[in-house]
Amino acid sequence: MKVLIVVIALFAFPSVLFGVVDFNGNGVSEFWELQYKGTVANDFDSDNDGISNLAEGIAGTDPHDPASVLALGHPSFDGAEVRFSWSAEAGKSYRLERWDPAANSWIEAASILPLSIAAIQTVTLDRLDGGIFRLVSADVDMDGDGLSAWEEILIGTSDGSAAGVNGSGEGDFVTALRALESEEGLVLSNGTRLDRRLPSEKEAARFLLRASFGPTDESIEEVMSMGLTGWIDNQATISTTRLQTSIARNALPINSSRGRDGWWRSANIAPDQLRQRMAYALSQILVVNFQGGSVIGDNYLIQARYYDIFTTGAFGSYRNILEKVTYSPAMGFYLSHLNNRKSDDPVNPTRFPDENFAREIMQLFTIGLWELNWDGSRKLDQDGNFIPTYGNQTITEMARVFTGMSHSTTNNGRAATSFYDVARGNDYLYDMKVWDEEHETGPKSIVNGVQLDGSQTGEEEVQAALDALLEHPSLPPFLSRLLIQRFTSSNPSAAYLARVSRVWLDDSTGESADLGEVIKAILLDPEILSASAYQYRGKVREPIIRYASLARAFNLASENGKYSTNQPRLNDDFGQFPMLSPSVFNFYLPDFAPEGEFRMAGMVSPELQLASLSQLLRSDSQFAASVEESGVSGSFDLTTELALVNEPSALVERVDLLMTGGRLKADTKVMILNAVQSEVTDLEKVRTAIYLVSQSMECIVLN
Amino acid sequence: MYRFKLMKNKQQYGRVNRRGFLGQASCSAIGSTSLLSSLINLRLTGSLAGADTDDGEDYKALVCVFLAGGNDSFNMLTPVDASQGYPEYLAARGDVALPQTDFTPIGDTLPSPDGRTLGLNVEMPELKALFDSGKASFINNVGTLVEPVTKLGIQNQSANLPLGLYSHSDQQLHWQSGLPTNRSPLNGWGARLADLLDDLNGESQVSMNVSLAGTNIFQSGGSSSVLSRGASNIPEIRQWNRWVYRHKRTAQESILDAQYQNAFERSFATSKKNAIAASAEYRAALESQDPIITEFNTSNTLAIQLKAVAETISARGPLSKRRQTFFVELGGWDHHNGLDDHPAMLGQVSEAVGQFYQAMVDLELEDQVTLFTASDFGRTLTPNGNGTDHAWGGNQFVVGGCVDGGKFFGDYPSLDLGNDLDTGRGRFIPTTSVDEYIADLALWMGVSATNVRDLVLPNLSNFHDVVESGAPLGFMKMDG
Repeated sequence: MKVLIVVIALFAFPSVLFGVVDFNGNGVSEFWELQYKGTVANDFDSDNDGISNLAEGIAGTDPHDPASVLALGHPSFDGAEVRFSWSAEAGKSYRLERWDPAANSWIEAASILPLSIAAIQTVTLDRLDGGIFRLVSADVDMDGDGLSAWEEILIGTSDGSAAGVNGSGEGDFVTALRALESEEGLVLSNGTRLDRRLPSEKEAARFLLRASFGPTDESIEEVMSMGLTGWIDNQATISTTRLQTSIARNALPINSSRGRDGWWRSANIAPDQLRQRMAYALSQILVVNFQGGSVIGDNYLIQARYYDIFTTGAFGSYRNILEKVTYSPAMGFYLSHLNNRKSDDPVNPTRFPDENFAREIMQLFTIGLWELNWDGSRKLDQDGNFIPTYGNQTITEMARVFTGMSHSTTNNGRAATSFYDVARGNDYLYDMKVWDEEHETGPKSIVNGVQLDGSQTGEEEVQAALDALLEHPSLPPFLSRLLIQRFTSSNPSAAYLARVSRVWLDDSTGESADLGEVIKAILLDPEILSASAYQYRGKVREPIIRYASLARAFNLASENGKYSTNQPRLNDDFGQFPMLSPSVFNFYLPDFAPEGEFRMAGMVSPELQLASLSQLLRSDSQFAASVEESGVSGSFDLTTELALVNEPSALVERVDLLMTGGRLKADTKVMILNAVQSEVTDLEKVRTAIYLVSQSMECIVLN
Repeated sequence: MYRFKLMKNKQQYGRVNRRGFLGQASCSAIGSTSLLSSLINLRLTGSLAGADTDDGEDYKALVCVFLAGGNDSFNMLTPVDASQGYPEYLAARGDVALPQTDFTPIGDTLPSPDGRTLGLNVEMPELKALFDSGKASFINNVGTLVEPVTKLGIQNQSANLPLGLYSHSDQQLHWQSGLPTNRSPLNGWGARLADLLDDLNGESQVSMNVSLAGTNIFQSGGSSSVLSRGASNIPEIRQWNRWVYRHKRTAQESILDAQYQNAFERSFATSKKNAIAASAEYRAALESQDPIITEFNTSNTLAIQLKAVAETISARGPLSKRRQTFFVELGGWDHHNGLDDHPAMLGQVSEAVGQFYQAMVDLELEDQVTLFTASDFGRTLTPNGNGTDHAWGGNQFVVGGCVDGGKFFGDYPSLDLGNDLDTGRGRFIPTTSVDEYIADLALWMGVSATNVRDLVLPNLSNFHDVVESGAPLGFMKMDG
């Protein structure tokens, strides 16, 4: 029998799911590009070996060495067998495929897992299975850390373990990125030293769209000089801008909107931007609505004290935040476990403990309704059904735990003498305590299968309940998803979510990781830093964040140094303002799927829940008015932009950089440029550029 | 039997003397001069099995009043007879029980052997007047169900229950989707209903589904999307039609018309483009109408929304609408504490609903518009102090000229704690399912029984055979 072997060699485009790090989205690992500095293009072949640099990049071969190519040599025949051999790169997986004329497609003939060192790889097939073959090189990521096996071997880490070095919580990728951004650069396992690589201007701006309330000239400069890892590390060292401080510095008369203006000041000028973004994200998970008309809504200090749980705890342990929130009288007032009394009769009660906080601390603040795997998928029972994390019985039992909570102080800071002491105003600034006189006694079966035997004090039981929640395996994926949605992606891949979830457990101690590690993993994930054309990539940016970004980019400031914003107007026009979400379910649901293609595809976009007819049009108008300095307290500093009016394309480029990270599509840029050039005055040219870029889809969507 | 005739050409809509037609309006949907929209049924079922009625020029609208947070409706409609009803109420509700004098007895005593008398919270005089004049009725102990369940079945965990029972987000979803086993429903029952009726409407950028309270699952996910607007006005982009804006407008239009590879960008651009077009048409339609003469209390946030509904209904001609759904919402019902506020909130609802009904009378449309309430769930009968917790079945009401008024539909549960419906603390197993409640409304809107069963309410057949037996509850007058 005649066997026709046609060698077509060679590659398949890897997708980001296979985990190569690809900052520029050209399909080739960033580490390969840095190592070989080859021009990656399909029509460019540095070593004239017949294989383009792009193909060599995908195959992991050396584009400057004609001997280093992926080629399927002519097979050897041995009796009934046919043997294929090729020179395999370490860490690459291969697929030998045979053309199936009947199916009119390539089918797999053999699949070969990666080798740990480069070697000649051989596959033996039955000779009767002859035909046309090709060899496909692909990337695999066995440990799911976002780095391919090929990359891990190159940089000297293991693709067998996703855990970071020393169990620090930092994954292999962040470790490599940190080295790459260091002055020494990254030394590869083959001895090659990769020069220090710092973010480009656009990369820095894009990163800051996620990690801050918006890029500025200064912050772009910072990121470009420190690197992404260095900037995040540095953020953790900047002293905390507490909301209470911003309110005090804002030099405004005391009134109930003062707290809101304080928030605006922090978003605009606080140097600890990542901390501020994290605090705002946490305030959208541990929601208290501070609408006016109540003891908490009318007192800006109570609001600020609550919000500062998040500013001060932004990089600390979630356990700490959850505890402070549990004991906060603001939360106690909002979810009514403040003054939560035990049943009136242990045998035949007619009054029962309040279930409000007990339910929401589980459903919204920690574990959610369904048991989850690390990657966010729901666990299934033996019948294939989803498994609820708790039933109503658990809620009633948890409600019994949170009984006896009431003010620790009354009468302006004097110690309370009983559960029943009357408190007002500033007494809400002090944590609640658990008064055993109104704490439900007896054993309790609480969440996560934990049994309380009734021997503990109320205080101890509350702590035990918080521990039970923190130890629940659904907590890391549940909270990781919520945080990812606020910063980077509405629909994180399972692999990305799993990588972030894993950070919650610090391998060295088994303790819950700090949120600082979690946010680092969220912002520095290969899925986020790699460019990709995946159509559900990214998220819609919150209108209030886009608005803050506008103010930051063009230095909105007032002469008297106060930062004030028309909060009721913004709340109406945007459908959101910090600490004023309409219910404990935040401004939008994490599972909100806009009708149409999103819902059909099973994809979500929480922020699009705000996109009503009214809000779409009114928020546009709000931006238009603000750019003209109408309705904002202060003025923009447009000196740099006005200097560019005679180079309108440079003006548009600059605005594009500050507001979208330079992502405007070419057509849009031309249209905006036309509009700018059609205006007469210098100021109107600048304002037109800013306004139109603020309404571009690239500014509204982060991807 | 349904009678069929060919649908009139939509282009003729609006040329007929509307006043003359409306003067003859009756409650009938099925059984009058109905005709088949062959298009609808051919498209959706591939057969002529059902009849989604079209008698040419009629108009019908459903208004959903959602009381978000879970209305404690056992303090809204309450047994007040001294012999049994009120003592049981008092015993169960403890600290949150209202005095007997806070209720006004309404309607007939519940049929023998029950014999209890129900009273309406005195803060709801407008609703009482509507009830007394036969324009409003109550649907009692209605809630989300997948299929009928018993207390025993729940206790031994064999019952097939709605997902996320007692949780706000899930129960709101189930009330609005009619799909209680699905946490990510693709559409709401209002949207499915709209898909069957939208062909009766003419060409317009303004959806037949208008929400005054943001996005909601009830109306969304169908072929015509929800128009979500604020209550105050229909905005437009600042200076959009002004000469000074022309260059910006050209750029904006090209931004919105561009092809986007990213789905978020695509979705946002499409929504905004649609909003600009719909806003212009909607504003022009409203401006072409005389202002609503009915007085609405503008400090009542529900009344403001219902006024906007009334204005939109008055502009149904220029908007080419013969079927519409509306969604309004009042929040703040999650009374884990502060139940003292509850009566005043009931008063707010009553006032707003009373004013809305009056507006419909003033527009001579009271027989063509039906308002109904919905809420996450009822609340525990037993208090937790000054409030109550999440429960299940609750009481709702419907208002309109076609409501078989002054009556109670669905069984009012015994408030004796520990009874066969009580799953604990007076969390009642609903004796009427949301599906049965909705089915009456869908039939009245003119959807055929077959389509109600097959396309609108997939769980309805677990409770009631609507094709065989007609409306499950019968609170709408179908043959005026």
